Amino acid sequence: MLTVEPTIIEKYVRPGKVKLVFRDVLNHGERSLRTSEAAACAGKQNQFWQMHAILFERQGDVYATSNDQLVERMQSWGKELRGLDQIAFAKCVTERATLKALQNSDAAQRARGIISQPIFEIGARRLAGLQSVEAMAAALDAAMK
Amino acid sequence: MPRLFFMLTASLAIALTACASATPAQIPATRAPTQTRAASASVPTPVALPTATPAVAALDNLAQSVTPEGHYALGRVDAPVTLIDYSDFM
Repeated sequence: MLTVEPTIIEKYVRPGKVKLVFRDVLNHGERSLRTSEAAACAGKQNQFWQMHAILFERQGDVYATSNDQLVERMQSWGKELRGLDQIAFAKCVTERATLKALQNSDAAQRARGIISQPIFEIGARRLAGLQSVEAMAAALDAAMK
Repeated sequence: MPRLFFMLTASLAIALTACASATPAQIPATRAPTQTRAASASVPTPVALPTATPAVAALDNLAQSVTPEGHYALGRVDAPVTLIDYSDFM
């Protein structure tokens, strides 16, 4: 979603027309796991979308971070979130408190054919691959009719 | 009487002159900077507070919720359309 998400949020989510749900697809090994876990751990403190925004902005940094440095990197980004209980967040990330749920969800999605990303669902309609703002807007407008 | 007035005036002038000349001598020029250094050494270095990125700030005033399946949602819970984004952060 990356580039179109801010537009979709402002045009459809903020006015209350659309609810946006994020579901993790774990296709990139440890980096996928650690970033999804960081977002889920922030989510336990109602800051999933804030961490989501940071992670999407810094994909390049994640790629440049070695697997054994990922936890430390996630914790340092957690410190940018106002009001986040850093001790609880660090514990959640280091103890991998959300890992099992994420893996179970990914497995269930794969059974439904969600094996690549991004994939979007709007009702019964499924859109695979990156979408332009125009294509996403057209799909959402059609769903609202 | 004029003599008494003269003596009082002269005494007052001498006292004022003494005070004026004594003031600079009582405050060494090096004293103020010394105090400033001591004060700044005792003040802890300010720690930068978290600063929201524009993308994070853009989320202000948007409802966040969790679906019954445990996935994170943004926007009105009862919005007429639900957009599910299957993705990862890579």
